[in-house]
Amino acid sequence: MSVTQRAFRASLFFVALATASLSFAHSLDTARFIGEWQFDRDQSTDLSPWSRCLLVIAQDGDQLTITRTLRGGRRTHEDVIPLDITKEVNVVPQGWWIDNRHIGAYSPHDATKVIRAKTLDDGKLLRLETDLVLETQQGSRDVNIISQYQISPDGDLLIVTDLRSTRPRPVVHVFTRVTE
Amino acid sequence: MNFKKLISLGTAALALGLTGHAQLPNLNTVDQAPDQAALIPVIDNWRVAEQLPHNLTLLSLQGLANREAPQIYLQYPEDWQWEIAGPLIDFLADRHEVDWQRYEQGDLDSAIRDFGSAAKGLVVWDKDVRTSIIVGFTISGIEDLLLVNEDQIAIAEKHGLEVKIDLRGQFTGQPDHEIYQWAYDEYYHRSNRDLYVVLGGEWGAVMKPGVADFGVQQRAWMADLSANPADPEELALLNRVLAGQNEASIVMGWHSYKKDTEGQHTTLTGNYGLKMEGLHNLPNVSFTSQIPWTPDFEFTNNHTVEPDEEIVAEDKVYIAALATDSMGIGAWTKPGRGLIPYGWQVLMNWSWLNPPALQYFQETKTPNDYFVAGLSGPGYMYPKSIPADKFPPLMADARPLMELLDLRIMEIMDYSQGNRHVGNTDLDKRTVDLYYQEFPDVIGFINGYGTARTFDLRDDRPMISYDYYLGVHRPTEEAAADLEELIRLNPQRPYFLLMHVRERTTIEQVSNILNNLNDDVEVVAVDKFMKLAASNKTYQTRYQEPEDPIDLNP
Repeated sequence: MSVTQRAFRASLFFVALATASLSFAHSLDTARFIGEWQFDRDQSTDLSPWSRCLLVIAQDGDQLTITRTLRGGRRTHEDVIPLDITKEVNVVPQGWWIDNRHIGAYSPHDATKVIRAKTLDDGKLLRLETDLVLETQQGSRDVNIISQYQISPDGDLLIVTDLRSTRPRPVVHVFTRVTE
Repeated sequence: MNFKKLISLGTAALALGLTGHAQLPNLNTVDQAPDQAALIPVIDNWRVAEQLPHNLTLLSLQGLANREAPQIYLQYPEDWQWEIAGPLIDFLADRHEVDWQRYEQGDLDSAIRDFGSAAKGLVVWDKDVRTSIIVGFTISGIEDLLLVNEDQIAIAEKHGLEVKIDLRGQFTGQPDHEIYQWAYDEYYHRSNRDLYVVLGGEWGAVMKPGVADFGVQQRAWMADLSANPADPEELALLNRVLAGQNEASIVMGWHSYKKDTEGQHTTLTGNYGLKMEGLHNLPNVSFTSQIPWTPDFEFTNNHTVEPDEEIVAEDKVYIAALATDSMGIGAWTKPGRGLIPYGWQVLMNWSWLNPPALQYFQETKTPNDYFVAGLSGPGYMYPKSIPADKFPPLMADARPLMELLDLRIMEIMDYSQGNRHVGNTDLDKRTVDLYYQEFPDVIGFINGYGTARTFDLRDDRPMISYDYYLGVHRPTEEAAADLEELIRLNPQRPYFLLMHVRERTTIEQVSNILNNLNDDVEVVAVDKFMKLAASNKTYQTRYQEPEDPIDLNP
């Protein structure tokens, strides 16, 4: 391969990379997602042992943060997903695996999870694909989760659908926008 | 105490006496249930400003009257948390031939007429100070006075009872720690060192002190002092109370739902090596503690394997389901029992607190019902909270109870470092070592309440933590999906899935959930589960690690 050909291929690579990097940042209709969303128990998959959840999506520059504050009785837990929207792939701390406290599956010590983000439907749909490791009585297991954040046409509902590679049923959580 | 009375006390108490360690309240016992006893209905209204006063007086009267003999049994509503209270009425009639003398609901006059002679007078609680009720119960027991409020004085005086102590106006505007400090200064030194009663649970406008009769009978000091560090004055006083109790004695009742948590309170009692027995609303203990097992009764478990039997697990998923939180508040009388193998944690101290109830469970068990010991020892305790020097003698109290009740598996629960939500309910290696050392004859151990991740296998005796917690409100399809997810997360075969069922979930529901699983699953009895788990260790040994997160929350 000649130097010119190599340079051309390299430039194509960088264009593709830049395009991929830009696809999340510039295509997400963040205004639709930003705000506070209250868990709708009646329309959602059971969230127990938690009974309430406040989902907050905020943006600060290139940082999009998805925060879930879960409550059950006097207990609370906060789960934070920080996303650099300039990156197609984010590696973030895993912390407690909070999505099903009924089953014996746990985060390893100092674990991280890999999150790939993309948008669809003119920025009205955010899809996160997460790869993480859970530990059970038999050892470590790779788990893949596709989480789809979709805004309803009227903008008042946020539907979060999780497809977990280990679970035979989707988990659907519906949130209503908190208005002042 | 003659030998016959020792037998009547229950072999458990005898066995405990032989260990020389346990400090039991001084129980009056009878050789057999009385020919007759009063059956008095409570009013199903526990609001302080409404019908609670009626029930409080009945409880005080019951405690005083039952000192002499088991004379009064209170009838609770069908939906009382201790569902066993109702079936015991028929059981005592049928099996123990008690002829119930039924009183009309609300007829306090007749009750005081017939049993008021057990009191030397009245103690009046202050309608404006809820805590004066609890102090009043302490005084009722120690001074032999009937607990009333000002609206009930007349009816009591009609039967010759005069006001001896009047708490009205004495505590106005005072916080609880000041009120209890006064009660401590006045009465603690005269109270029972083998029993402290916690009249917690519901708070504010409602109180359900079903266990108060036992406290009165036993002259216990009673309170609902907080174990929460956010209440430093109450915590300081509670520490003094617990420190003053006899070694390995009983703390009976339940923490206040307002002031602190189960984990905080039980951790503190464990710090003093005391044995917790719940709940605050456990009824009729002053009666049931006196009734022995019938002469023809012997407690036997539904063992499906022999202790030294070896069986080999096949390449499948094995599930064992178990309910804790006592058979008395669970699904024992609900639909489905017997459909599938099912484990039940036994309140071992009911061998002396409530022998008729244990006999009732024993005699109504199906072939699929299996009993395990708990919780953590001779009472409800958190092993990580118990001082090292107190652990062996406490577990020495548990062993004869297990032998008496034919129990071969010990269930352990520890909320001293948070609860099942995001706490750490695992056991460190030191604690696991202690259990294996102190219980050489068990065939296995269970750990957890929610899920946990302590696993071990020594000398063919597994320690298995719960891998699944079935909450009361978890829909069937989601619960089945949870189990399928667990099965996928644990692909090695055999896979040993121990399932903890919240007590109010019926076995019928559990059976429905399990029927939704694929056919590679076998539901087995808990003892068989342990033996199978011993035969093929696909679970990794694990103890609580220093890096494991701990969230007390709260």
